[in-house]
Amino acid sequence: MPANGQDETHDTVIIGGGPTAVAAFCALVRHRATRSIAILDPAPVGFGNVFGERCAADPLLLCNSSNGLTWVDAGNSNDFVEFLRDRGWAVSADDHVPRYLIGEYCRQRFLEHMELAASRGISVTHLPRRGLDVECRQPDYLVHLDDGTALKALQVLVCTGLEVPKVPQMMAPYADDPRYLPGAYPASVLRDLPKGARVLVLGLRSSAQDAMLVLIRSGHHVTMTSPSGRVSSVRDVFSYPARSYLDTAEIAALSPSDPDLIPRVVAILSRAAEARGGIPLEEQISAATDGAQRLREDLALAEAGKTHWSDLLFETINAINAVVGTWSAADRARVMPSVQPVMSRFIASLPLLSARRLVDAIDAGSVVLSPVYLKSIGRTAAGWQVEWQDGRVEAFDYIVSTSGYHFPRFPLRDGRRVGVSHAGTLQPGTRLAEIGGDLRLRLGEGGVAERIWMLGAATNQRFPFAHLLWLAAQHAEQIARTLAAEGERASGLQSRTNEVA
Amino acid sequence: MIGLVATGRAAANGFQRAFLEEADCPVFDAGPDLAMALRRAGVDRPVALDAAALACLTEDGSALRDRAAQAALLGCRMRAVSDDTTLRQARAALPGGIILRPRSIGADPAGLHLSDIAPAAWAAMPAWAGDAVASPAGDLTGQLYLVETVSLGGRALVYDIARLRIDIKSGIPLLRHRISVPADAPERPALERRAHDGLARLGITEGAASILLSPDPNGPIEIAAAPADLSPSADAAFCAHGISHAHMTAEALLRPSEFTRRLEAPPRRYGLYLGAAAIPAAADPAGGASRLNGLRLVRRLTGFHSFTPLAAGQAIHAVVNFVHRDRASIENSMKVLHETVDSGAFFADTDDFISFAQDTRAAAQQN
Repeated sequence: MPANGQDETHDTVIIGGGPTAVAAFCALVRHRATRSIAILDPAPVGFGNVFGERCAADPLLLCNSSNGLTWVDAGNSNDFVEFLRDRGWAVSADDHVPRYLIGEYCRQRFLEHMELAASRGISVTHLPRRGLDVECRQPDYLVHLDDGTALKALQVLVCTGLEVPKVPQMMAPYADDPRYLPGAYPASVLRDLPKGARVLVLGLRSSAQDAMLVLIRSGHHVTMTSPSGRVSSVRDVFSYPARSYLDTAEIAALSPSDPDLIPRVVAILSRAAEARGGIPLEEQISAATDGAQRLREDLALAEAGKTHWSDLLFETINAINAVVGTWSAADRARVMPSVQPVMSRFIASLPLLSARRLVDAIDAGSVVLSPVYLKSIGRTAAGWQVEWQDGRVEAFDYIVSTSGYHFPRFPLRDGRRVGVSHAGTLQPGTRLAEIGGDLRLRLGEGGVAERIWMLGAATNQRFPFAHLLWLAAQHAEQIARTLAAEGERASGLQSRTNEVA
Repeated sequence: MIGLVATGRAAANGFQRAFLEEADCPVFDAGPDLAMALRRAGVDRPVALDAAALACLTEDGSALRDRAAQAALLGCRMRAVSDDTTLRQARAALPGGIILRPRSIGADPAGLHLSDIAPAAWAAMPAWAGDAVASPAGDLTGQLYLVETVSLGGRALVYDIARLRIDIKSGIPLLRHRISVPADAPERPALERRAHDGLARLGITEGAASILLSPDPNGPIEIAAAPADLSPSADAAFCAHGISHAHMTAEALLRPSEFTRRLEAPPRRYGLYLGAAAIPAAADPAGGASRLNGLRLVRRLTGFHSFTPLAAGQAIHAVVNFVHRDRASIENSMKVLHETVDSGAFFADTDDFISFAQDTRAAAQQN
């Protein structure tokens, strides 16, 4: 049965309307890489989930990336800083600002590029619809929407971000319990809990920090824990490096079959950190085993300007993404679960401000970092009864899970329809479309590269650190250049054909 | 008869000095909005208002309410509540349950509103509103709009249609903000039709009116003979639309031929949206604490136009006006503002939501 909107054809359909989509849109317009664009998102383009109303409206919630590492234009690493200064914010590239400002920034750049598109004759349509799946046809694609219609496209850019929070296994039986909050957002949900509530926060990373800040400001009592019990390190800076500090060739040479892969990665980074700071890496991070103690020591090191390892982060993320992106799906699946925890202590490290706020809250007695994880959880009439691994039993009124979000995956149906799934689990036997190193989708391993490109978080299946905005901007630039070059070739061919004729 | 109608004795005095020094006329409260509007209308001399126009502008709420009852206007159910007695009467008249809303917080004559609620009554609002929203009142929970009009000789100019955002917090409805509806919004024709119909049935033929309604033909409709609750400043309205209610009211009274031409001309579109967000007084626990840090944030929000503090004792502490070409940006800014207020940060002494310096390595090395 033909879909209602099949007559509507666009050169390019962008699925998703968050910051990644803005990066894609701006790059396409800048490079004149397409003649028409349709953007699919129920919400206004630009703000997205992480930087929009749901997760970012409370100005207390800071972005974990510094201003100097936030941009949608891969050609201007100072773009966000310039935006902020234009608005009168006295900030530097090293600072971290509230997330809503990144939403404003993305929206602003989108509007500006809408005007640029108009001046260049590129038609742009924003449809307040979700793109459900993409049907691969020859020679075009049919993007099916949630209202039952479909759009024809010559190429599709998938920019879906993070939407659905993970539920820890222990909480799965209680996923719908009103005293279980699956995520820290929106902040008003935490703020409006009954005064003085005892809240257990599962997780220690950035979403947990957000939850903690909102909860203690609202007068609640917070206990934080995670299976690893490890708080991220604290960094003093995480900015675009003035020069290269890392031998990226060594990382590029890493082999997934190397039995000493993890020690080798650690050795490479340790050498680079020592060369950068003049002191061994061991002196740049705390070795304490107690979470709170380690946090204090890491904070002291960062305040003393001794966390030189943070100068390597930008290059390390890029280099690891680059090398892992060349590995087979089987190698990635086998190796990355061991590499990621080692790296995430640094890559998910806390900015100084966030670490100070956490330490202040611990010192004030508003927050307790549990030294052990949960052994069991039981529901009581008044809330929750928790048994800790050290045998203690404690009561809580609410449990907040901040275990991160499911990355989008792309299940195949009928061998030619690619869906977008944010679910934690897929039906057994579900086949997933493959993302190539060129960011293009294949309908199976070794298949033909479709004209479907994945950007940002959507590339997580191939690239381990995929959710950072600057990576999405890199992807956008790469794809736009490719499409623009194709367009130039086609245009040149047409001119030559006309000349011959 | 010669006179003026607006708000504020000081402004009235200023206006009298500016325009009416030589006039022997009564001066009603004149406010900065109307004074500015008159300047924009080119008025530089004493003005003459006829008695009918003046009477219309100063018509009191009870008279209008009586007329609404006589007109049997469908769904016209706004009731003034100023004490327990009037509250009981309102509840009896509206058996489906009631929702109390803040009285006018606009910069215009409070006395022209039908929904005045005395400060003493507001102190008990949580209890009342808790009762009210327990029943399916419904009026403020669907999509509601405000249609702002100025009429002359029975013809009304619609100068703004705004959509309201009303949140129910702890059982109490909070009027959060309003924002212009796009010129091509599909619901707009129905809203205009209902507004014109309501004005006609109520017999409002002159002056400003504010019509609260839903696009549903059977939905609620309330009419106040004055700009609505949560009015943007006239200056912000002028910035967004090129006209404001005060400007149009002045024009209708002073230059009726120009106003008539405006009614007959195609609507002028400036491509800008107008928003107004409320900062409730209840959000300020200290009753007027320093809000400098809050203002430092607000003034940097996309589309920020101006901040209008209201007189003490009102349910609304201030109105923040926004004007921008991008509606989504205004919406986002207003949501950030609400979060800042709800979290207590707006009135707090801390600056952790506007100061982000990391004291990073460079600073450490300097020490």
